[in-house]
Amino acid sequence: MGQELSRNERIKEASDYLRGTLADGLRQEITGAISEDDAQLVKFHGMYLQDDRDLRPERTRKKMEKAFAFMIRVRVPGGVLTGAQWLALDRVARDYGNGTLRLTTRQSVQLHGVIKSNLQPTLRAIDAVLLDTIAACGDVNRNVMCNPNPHASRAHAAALDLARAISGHLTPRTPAYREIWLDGERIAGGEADVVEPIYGKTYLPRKFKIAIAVPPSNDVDVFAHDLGFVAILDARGDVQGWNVSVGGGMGMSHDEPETYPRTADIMGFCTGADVLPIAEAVVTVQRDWGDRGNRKHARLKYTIEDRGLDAFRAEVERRAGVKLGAARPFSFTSTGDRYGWTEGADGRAHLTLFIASGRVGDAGSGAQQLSALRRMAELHDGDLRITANQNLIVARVPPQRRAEIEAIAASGALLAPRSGLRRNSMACVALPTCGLALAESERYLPDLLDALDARLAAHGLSTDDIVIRMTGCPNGCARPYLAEIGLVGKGPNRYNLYLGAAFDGSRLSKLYAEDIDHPAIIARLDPLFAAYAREREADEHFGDFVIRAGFVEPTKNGRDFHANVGPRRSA
Amino acid sequence: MPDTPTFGRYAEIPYNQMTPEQQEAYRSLIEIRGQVGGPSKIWVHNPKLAKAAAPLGAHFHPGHYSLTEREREIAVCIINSKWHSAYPTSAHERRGKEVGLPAEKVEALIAGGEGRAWVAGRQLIDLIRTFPTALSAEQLRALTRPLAPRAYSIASSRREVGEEAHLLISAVRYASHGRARKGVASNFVAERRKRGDRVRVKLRPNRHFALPAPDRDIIMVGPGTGVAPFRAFVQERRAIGAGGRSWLFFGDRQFTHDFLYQLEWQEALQDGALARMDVAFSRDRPEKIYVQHRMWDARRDLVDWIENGAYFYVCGDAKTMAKDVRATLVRAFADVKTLSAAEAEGAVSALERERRYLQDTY
Repeated sequence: MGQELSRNERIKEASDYLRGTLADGLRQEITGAISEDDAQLVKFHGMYLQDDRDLRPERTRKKMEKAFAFMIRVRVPGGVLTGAQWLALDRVARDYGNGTLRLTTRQSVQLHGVIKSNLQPTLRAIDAVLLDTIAACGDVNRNVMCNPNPHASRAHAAALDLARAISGHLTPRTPAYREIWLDGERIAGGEADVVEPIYGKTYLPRKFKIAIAVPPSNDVDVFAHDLGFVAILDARGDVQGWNVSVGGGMGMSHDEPETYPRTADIMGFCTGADVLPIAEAVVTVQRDWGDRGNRKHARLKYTIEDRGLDAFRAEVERRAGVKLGAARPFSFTSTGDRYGWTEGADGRAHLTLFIASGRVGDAGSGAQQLSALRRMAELHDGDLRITANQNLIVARVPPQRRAEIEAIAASGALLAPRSGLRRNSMACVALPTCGLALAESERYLPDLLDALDARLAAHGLSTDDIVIRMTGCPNGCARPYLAEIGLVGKGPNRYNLYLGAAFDGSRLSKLYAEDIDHPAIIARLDPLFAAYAREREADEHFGDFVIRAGFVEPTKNGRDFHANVGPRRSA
Repeated sequence: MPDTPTFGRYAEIPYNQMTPEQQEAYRSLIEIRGQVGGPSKIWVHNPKLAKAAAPLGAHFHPGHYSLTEREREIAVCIINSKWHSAYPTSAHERRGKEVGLPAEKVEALIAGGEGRAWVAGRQLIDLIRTFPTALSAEQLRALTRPLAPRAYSIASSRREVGEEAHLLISAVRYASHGRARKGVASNFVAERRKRGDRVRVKLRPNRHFALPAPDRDIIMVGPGTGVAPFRAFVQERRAIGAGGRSWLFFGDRQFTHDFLYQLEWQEALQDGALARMDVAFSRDRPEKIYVQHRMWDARRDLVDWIENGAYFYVCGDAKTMAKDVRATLVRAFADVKTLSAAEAEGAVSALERERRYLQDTY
């Protein structure tokens, strides 16, 4: 490549397999921060150094440094937690965190507000229930997602097994995690191919995300990920094999058109036995081909754009020793969750709860959601499954427990709302803790939903499913570019409005209005809701309607994302 | 003379061994009280006090007061309970029952029961609100006392800040028995005065709590607002280029919200004005950690510094912190130097005699 390496590449290279000076930084007790380089490395261990941005103005006046604390992301392949694991996370959230658990859009759990001196006790408590946080963030394969919909039980079981196998196979091998957070003992290093046979010393050029979908549900948003596997089912509902998708990704930067979100391409089909070799080959090709000079051009989606899908496929096949078959047909219906009770094959039932923006806490005078879920976890012997939509499934409930579980869910305001917009809403964390946020997200979305629900009600659309997602910055944690209504923070109280993504997650949206505030968001959407109510065809989704009706151009793929933006017809 | 217990706390003097003055005092006590039993006999050791106090006590004897016998015993039991006085408690437990108070009521009073529990955390305003009564302004004034002046350590050195004096004042605000409470003096400064207002102050030097020669090491233990004088110490020693090392122990409730002067300490550690700082925050996790725990962790270095002549300063809460800190230093000496408890106590006492262990507590 000949290009100069980015700073992060030098940090990784010098880190001695992600150790850096983290152990020493933990001992510096008069600051809640760690060094800049370590702040990059700690992501590989599943943590972000953040600070409470609400408090910034008063801190200097008080002669105190920023209110630093860490976000800790727990790796939960497939989103499946046992009751005991949930209870342990509940405990650490109250003992060491800010008293809330945050279910993420990638089926993991985040703790917020853990100060440096509490990192080790927190990670030890997480380790004690056989969970970890390694590679939950950083330039590595992150949490592996899969469809948690237990009513498709045989296919789901296959997807979950696969998610766990891939996750295990691609987890970094460095002993640094145990050494720094759990044991405190230095374990001797070694050669790169011994310590990290897949990643090597410098790991991947950028983050890497894998999801496994079981049609007809695309709840995991498989096209938003670097690598995806789509279950191809036979007539009996068993898995024949997997379509392989590559090159999806959400992140971009405002006003930098060379960055863009991209939906993944289907590269071919493979059998279950070939999944691991294919996954490893995709990772190592990206390791070697990915751009290590420009972090804004380092995701697999740009490698595929630059090298072409055919060249990429050929290299993957060569390394894996597997010839991919032709992609097989499948179809998705939606990206949403199925709320309420579903019956399992074994006589047990599953209750999908609604968690607004994935935030589980005990509000002072409001819903006591953390307590309600704790009670459920205490009496429930099944498991708890985090969905890709920041929701939670109480899985495998025996018939005699159903009434009790539902009563607790109702008391904790955990049952799905009536509003079709709210049922299909997601928001990232954003302010006050996320360092990247340009605008509010999680704290603002409820107010916006109230206002939009009032307009939808006026047009008789209250219960229609419309996907709305909001992020505080363009990096796309809540996958806003795959929402029928996407709002992306531009500055304080200002958002870009994107429209026209497909309800099944197969098509990106298009910028409709730039840099608008709360009244303008409502003013721009209200006439579109009116037109939708008036002119839509049977079963036509909002995202498809705004394109057919000519309000906005369709986005065909990543490179096309920034073309022909803005309204195409006056509303 | 009747044989009564002395609880081993003083020597009982037989009548024939008393000085004539003591014998005279003893006789006047008998005359007034009828008998002199138990601890009261200690008065004989100080005949002048006995002669002055005995007539006062006479006013509290039966027939000399307006309370009924029962009311008197109730009052005595409450006061005994408050002061944990073992002898009068046992005497009046018996007496209370003799005058017809129900046994369980007497025991409840002694156990420190309802009355004391009610008073805890309440103020005069609560009493008046709960038991409304007509009081004249004069009566109210007589019941209360004038506001006392508050003493604060100056938290700055003029060598660093010029003609200013910085104070570290924690605004006392809490809720108790359904009412929001505010500390009078701290909120006078924090809320009722604005920038530019004038405040009446009086300077009172504290010559005992001063810095040693510049080349001596100092160890400072100052949790909470107790850190105030140590900010002045560190500023002063930085300004004069003191050669001795400075080590600060600081603690408070939460690292994130209560790390007073955090940025200044970071700077002081950078520029060497502080050689070392150990911190303890008690509310950051389920188990509480205080400065004395950090002292214990650092006991080897602590004893090493002191044996090298370091001065040891403690500032802050007098009720428990100062005692715990001292006890921890004693234990540190015992552990590090393999001393008996008494020897270690002796080592710390020696520091106090040399005025190398200095306290400013409140």
